[in-house]
Amino acid sequence: MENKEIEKLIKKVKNIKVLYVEDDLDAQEAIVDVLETFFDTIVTALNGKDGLEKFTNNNRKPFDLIITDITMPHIDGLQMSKRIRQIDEFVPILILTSHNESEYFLDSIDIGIDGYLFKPFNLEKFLFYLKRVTKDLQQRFKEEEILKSKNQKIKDLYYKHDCLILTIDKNVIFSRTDLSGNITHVSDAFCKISGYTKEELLGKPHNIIKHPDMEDIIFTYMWNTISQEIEWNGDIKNKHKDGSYYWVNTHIEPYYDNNKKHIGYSAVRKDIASQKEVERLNYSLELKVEERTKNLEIAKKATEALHKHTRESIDYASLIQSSLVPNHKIFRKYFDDYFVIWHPKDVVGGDIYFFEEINEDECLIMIIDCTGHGVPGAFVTMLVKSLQVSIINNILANPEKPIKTSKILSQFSKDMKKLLQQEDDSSVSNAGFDGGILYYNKKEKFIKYSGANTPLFYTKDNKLDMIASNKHSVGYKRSDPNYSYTEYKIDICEGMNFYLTTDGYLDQSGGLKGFPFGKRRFKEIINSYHIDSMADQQEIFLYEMADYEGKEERNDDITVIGFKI
Amino acid sequence: MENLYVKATKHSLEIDLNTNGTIRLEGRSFPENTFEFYAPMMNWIKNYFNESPAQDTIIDLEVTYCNSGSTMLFFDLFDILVQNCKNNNIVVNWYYDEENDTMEEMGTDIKEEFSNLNINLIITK
Repeated sequence: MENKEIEKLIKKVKNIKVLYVEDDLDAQEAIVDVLETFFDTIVTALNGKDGLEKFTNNNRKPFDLIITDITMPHIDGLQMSKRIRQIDEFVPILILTSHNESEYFLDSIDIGIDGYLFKPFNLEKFLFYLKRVTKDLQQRFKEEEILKSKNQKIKDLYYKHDCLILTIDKNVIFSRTDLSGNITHVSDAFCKISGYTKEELLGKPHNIIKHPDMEDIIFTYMWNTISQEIEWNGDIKNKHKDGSYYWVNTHIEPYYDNNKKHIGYSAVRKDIASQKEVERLNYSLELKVEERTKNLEIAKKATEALHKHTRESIDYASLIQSSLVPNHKIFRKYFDDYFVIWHPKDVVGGDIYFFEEINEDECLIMIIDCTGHGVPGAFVTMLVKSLQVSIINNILANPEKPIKTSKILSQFSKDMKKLLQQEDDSSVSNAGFDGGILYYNKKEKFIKYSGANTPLFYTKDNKLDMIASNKHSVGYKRSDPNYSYTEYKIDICEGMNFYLTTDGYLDQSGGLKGFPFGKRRFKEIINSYHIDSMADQQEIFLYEMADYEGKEERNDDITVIGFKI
Repeated sequence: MENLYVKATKHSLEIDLNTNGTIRLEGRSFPENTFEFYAPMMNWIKNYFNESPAQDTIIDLEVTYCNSGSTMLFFDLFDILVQNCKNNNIVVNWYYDEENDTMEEMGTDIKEEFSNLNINLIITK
């Protein structure tokens, strides 16, 4: 054998544990010297008895190789080997002897000796056997290793299995019954949720936890199903030991013994308390929503009815307010060409205009913008109308007195303050108006005008003029009852155009920046279109406003009056 | 006394009243009930002059749109300023856009009506 091969062999066998049995101490010492070059662990014994004892008391690490002499006191090497074989079928045994008898050989073969060496010690021969038994040993180690790892795996599996059983017991609400429904097994989880101990449950009928709320028909159906060995699943409300309840989703299936004989039922359950709580809340929420919806619908109907009522009421009010505005016949009597735009913002409004005939040749036109718009505005217009009637009656009753537009305005102011008790600061209400009074004397061809924050626009010889009017409103708390309004007199000739407007048209917001329409634009329209007929100009005023207003909301009532002489 | 700030709405001004004497009103004004709406502002201004007016009171007004109710409210506001202009240094800056002739006219009217107040008409563009 080459050195390299020997080195390789030594590496392989270095770790193995050797039992060497020899009664001749000198010989033993000499052989041990040799063996130590191969093996780390060599245990020596002095005879077969000693060797057998050492083999059996191996300190938990079994011997991997036995080398033994034959002739020894007490028990000889072959007898020892025979015994060892009874304990260990595979451990390699080498005989080292000076005997050369065939009887020994036969015994050795019977015992299953792995090699036979003669003294003196022959290294070549030893190496030959060592190599052979090493092969077997390697194989054996491998098998032992596999066995060991298999054992470990099985141990692990058992452990995991035990843990799983514990976990299941702890967490799965599980029970088993016999065929008549008597409990044969319950899990810890079952005990926990039901409030009973295992002892209290075992042997008892399963309906110990039946809740009275559950209808019998459900259980009848369940028993019909499972007794036919069909699985059953359903939500069940169970009774806790303390009388309270708990919801579980239950799955029941038939249970068989090892011979596949049907011997009972097993059931697993899922705690669905939170699910049931959500269902309960949902249901109560649905009820609430339904109720609210119903209430809302009732409220909606009531609101609609109220709105309809209000709307009808305002429509009727509008009818009344419209009866205040003058009949167009009277306009036509004085002017061949005229227009009136009267657009209350909210069906009724605070804008109003009057046309009063004093006699064949004289008339009064009044344009009035009362506080606010909508219904409150309309209230003030009714009031103004009543004051106006009394003022006109007074004029008609005193035909000798010249008509003064300024006087009419201040009369309005006085009457209004008095009527609404707005003569001092303590008054709650603060209503009044801005407006213009225009007196037209057809025969003598002149117009007189007085205004409160209401300008008069007119053209003469294609030239536009504006009477700005006094910046002093009529009738308000702030208004001075003794304020003297300016009276303007304009001589007229054919072709002149006159325009009166409340602030609704001039102040309507719109354009790119949301500014008021303004007097500048108003004048531009007059300058551009005054030669046209008043009917055409009306169209233009309306078109220009719609264009400027765009998507802005209407801010106020609009009244514009135009006439041509 | 605390500052008063009210955000602008579709129908009302941005109101920014500071105890340090800077008062600013900006935007459009046509609320449904003008006097009720602006009552907190008017009360603040009255209290300001009664309790702790600053050395200089600067009032910046940049109103782009204003209905007749709001116009009346402004006149009430200017009445308060007139009552306090003897003992206080009050400056009113009335800003208007050159395209907004209505607000220009209103500024002019106010300046004329309240001639003892120091009112500057300022074109913003």
